[in-house]
Amino acid sequence: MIKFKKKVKQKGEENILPSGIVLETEKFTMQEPRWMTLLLKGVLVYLIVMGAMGCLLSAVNVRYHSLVVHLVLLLAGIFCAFLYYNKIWENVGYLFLLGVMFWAGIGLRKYINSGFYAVANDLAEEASGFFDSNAMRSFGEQIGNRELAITISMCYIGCVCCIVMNVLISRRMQYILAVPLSIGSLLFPLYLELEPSIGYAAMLLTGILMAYMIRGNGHYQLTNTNIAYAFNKKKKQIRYIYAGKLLGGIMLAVFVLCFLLLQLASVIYSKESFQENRSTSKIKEQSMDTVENFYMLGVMGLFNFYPNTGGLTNGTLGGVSAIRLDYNTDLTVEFTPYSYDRVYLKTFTGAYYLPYSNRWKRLEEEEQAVEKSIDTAKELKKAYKNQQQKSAKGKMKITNVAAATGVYLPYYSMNEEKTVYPNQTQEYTYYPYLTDQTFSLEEENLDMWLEIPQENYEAIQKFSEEAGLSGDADVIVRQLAQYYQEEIPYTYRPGATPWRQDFVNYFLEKNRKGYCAHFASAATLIFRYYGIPARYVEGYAIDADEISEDGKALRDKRYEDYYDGYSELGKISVIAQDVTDADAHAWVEIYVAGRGWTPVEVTPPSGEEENTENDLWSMFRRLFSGSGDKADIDSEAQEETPVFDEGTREVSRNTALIVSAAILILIAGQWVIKSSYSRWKYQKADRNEKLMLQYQKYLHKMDVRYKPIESLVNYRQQIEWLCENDFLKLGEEEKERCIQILEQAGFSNQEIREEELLQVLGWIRRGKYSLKS
Amino acid sequence: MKQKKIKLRPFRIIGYVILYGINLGLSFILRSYFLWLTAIILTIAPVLSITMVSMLSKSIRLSSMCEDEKIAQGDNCFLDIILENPLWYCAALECVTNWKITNGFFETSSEISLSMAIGGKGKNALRLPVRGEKLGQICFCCNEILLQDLLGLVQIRKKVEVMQHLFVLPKEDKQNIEEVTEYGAGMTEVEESKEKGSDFAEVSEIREYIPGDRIRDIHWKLSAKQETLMVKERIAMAGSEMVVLVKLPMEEKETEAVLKKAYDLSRGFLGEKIPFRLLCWNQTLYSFEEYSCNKMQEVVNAFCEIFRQPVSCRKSENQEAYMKNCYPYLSRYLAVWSQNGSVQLEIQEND
Repeated sequence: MIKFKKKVKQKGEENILPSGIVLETEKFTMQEPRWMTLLLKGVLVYLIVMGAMGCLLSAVNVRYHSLVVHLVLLLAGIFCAFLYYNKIWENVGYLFLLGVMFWAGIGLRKYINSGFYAVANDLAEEASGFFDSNAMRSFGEQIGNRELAITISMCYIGCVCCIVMNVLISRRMQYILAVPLSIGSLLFPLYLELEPSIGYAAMLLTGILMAYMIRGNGHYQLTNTNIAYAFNKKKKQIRYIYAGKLLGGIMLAVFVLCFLLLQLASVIYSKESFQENRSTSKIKEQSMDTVENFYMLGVMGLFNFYPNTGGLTNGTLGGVSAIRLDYNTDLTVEFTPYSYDRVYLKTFTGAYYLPYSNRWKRLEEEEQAVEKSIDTAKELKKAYKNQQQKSAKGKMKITNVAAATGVYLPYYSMNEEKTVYPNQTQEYTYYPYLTDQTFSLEEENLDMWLEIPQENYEAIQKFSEEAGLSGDADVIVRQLAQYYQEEIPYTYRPGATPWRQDFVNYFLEKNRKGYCAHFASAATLIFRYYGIPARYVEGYAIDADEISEDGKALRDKRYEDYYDGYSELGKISVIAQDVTDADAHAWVEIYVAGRGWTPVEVTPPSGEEENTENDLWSMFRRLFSGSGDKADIDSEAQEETPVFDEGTREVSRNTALIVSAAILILIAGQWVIKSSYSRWKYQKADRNEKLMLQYQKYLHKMDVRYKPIESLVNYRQQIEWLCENDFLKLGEEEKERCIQILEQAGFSNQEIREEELLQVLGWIRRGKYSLKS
Repeated sequence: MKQKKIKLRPFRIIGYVILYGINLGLSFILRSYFLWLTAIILTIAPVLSITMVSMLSKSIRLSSMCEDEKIAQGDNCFLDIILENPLWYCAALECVTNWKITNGFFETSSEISLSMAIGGKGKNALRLPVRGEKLGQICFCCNEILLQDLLGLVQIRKKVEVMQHLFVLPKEDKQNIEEVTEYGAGMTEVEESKEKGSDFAEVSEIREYIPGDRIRDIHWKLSAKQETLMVKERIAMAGSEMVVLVKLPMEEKETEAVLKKAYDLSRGFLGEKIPFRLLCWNQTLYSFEEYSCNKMQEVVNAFCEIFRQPVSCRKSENQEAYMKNCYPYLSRYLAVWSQNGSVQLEIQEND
């Protein structure tokens, strides 16, 4: 059986130093009660917690009973700090605290939730205003008395924070963790340009500076005794443990100083002036969408749910918060351009929209026969064979470089079975539709292309009315495209569709911004609402200007091998065009009688400000990627943009001004206080002290210029040296008299006479003049 | 190597720079008034902190005080270390004084640093409770104060010269005193004559009184005639007084034991009102140091003087021979020395 024995202190364990001296550490004096330090640590916890919380609440301008919260948090901070008074307090106290917090949490949960939601709602309102967003997250407040609910909630949350902060501060003074915890909650209001009040800012800064200070000086560890000093045998060091009174004084001084400096700064450069001159930083501008997503959708708003970010998602929608383009080549297309129209390569056709699942569904197997209608292509082929006017035949070679396996079908082609696997090349034959001629096509059952899910009907109806669409198919397409362009901005960063929301409804009713998939999906259902058979299509779209800029002319290839017949561009060379994910696109096909399924474009062009490489993620990626073309482009762009704009310069100027003013005021203040104190001391002093003060002052001035006087320790030596060096012009008698008076003033209890004082002061004054001269 | 007056604390500075950098970065990104104000505070704080400590370093004063300058071995005393700050607007939470504690007798030393806090305009005293475990002259010496600014970014070194001496004397052992006193009883005729009130010591000359001369050496009759104090100069110590020779070995424990024995012997003699002379060899002077002991204070002073020189210069093999040459009239003396680890006390003939 193991027996535990109390460790007895052996003689060898005594703090014997080699010099034969024993430090009797157990006899250290009990200089200061421990509770003083604990009290201060409690106040420190309170300053940090209340400072951070007050900053947040004052920034959002929430109304609550601040005095109650102050009192509760002060008591909580002190209580938590006193838990470390001894082991029993710590164990029992934490249990008690846990019980109280649990009981309060259960009993006041409605108030706590409601108060928290009230603050969150206020913050959300500010956020909606800032982001200029119509959508707003709001939480149900259960308690009518908002002020009371917020007060209770803040008291509760504050107490929890005090417990956490106490663990960090009282025991280990870990300001490194305390800073992000306290400042972290403030970042979002600061992002929204909401500013906290100066009082709370001073509290928070005092708390953080004090924690940094105490940690830096290393005297923060607690013991269970009141011993003022402890001996560290290993380091051979005696360290003080408590300096509560001094810390209290320093804490008060730091708070007053912080408060005064903040006030001074706000007088010199007010919050209003700052806000007038405030400019939005580039980084903030670029991160706004990300932060908005985060605010709207939480953490998941920051992530994309599926990897393909180029718009080709096989009909899956809404999982992308932002499109991130890599600009790498997906396909290489060899063909001969024949018109200025866009060249589409179709890969996915969505027939049914599945609301809330947020995806387009292809046709079922048995229905695909209908979709596979290639009537128009057949008619165009027939026309080409008959050598009709404006008929032609083209050949397109598509090489899959890095795209998904699939069919990349040019319009009016009959090679629907030709799947292009990675690193493979497929050849398609197509018959361009360059004529206005219509054909007598087989009648199709178009009912399925008019289906609108019940869940979307109301939103589609409301939007259609709002857009004021009317007329035949061509007109509606034009009107819708126009309305989109005017009212709904195109963006690569629309944010992911929130959980349990429908993609199309969210786009039309709340978010009202998006990229091609948003516009095309909604347009498909809108066209159907107006009785226009429509379907959603995904693929690649290559613009004519892109071909003219990036297309490589293949001189070794014969035009005749690739194209035959009418061309709007005439006979030009064969072109090899790299197709990247930036060309990925979604569009709509509508069924036009006599022409069949015709692609229509409703997506508005992207704004100039859109640059997918400027979001936070891309910036982060660029930071760690090597220098490439893009990096070069970015650096060029950066060169054009000044790093510091006018606002920043203004702020920097004012900062420098305030710092200089503060330093000058401090120096001047110190000088004023010092001289006032000296004057006061001089007035209060008796004749002996007056003489000594004046004489010391004179010697101090001499000290600054002439070092030798430092080594002269008595009045005789000093006066003799001063006389020898002609600083004092005294005869032998006067010299002796001067020394005698000084010795009497310095050492005797007998006060010198007034005339003696005046006599020596006169000599000193003369000495000062000679010093000046 | 010359140490720098100002020492930077890189980790603390890096920590502060990180804090400052984060604030500045956030301020640059968010363009927030609060962060801008924070940046101002964070800019001013280190300037103030360093200025304060620099001013404090110029005006701070260090002193030390010991309530007893002489303590018995194993006894306690308090050493007061006092820091004084005359400036009300400067304070430091870390003020380290590095002390070197040396035992001049045994030539051992140790170092210790004391960390104290000092507030504005006032004194802070640390009462250091110490116990003397080894005999000797203990010197507490501080040559520098390291002052750290409030934020802990820099440390300023200030040169000072503060010294405090403490003598650790042997502790009284009553039983031992009784034992050793017997050696003195009836050892010399001096003792017997003293009982009778006469002095048989040989007088070599009569001279004028010099302060410090013993009262009993005054020639009262002659003094009355010449109207000035005259004293009888005796031939060395020729049998006039008891002579105790302390022969110190090099080994620490033996030395302590010899000194303790000698101290007890001295106390015992004085208890019996037997005056004596204490001799101790000084290799540096190559002669005996001679201490006349008529009262306890003189014994204490004699031991303090012995402790002033290191034990290494107290040892000599030829002490007996030198005794014969130096003090030819001395017939016998009492020697205290150590042999095979035990202290010997023996009356030795000086012939």
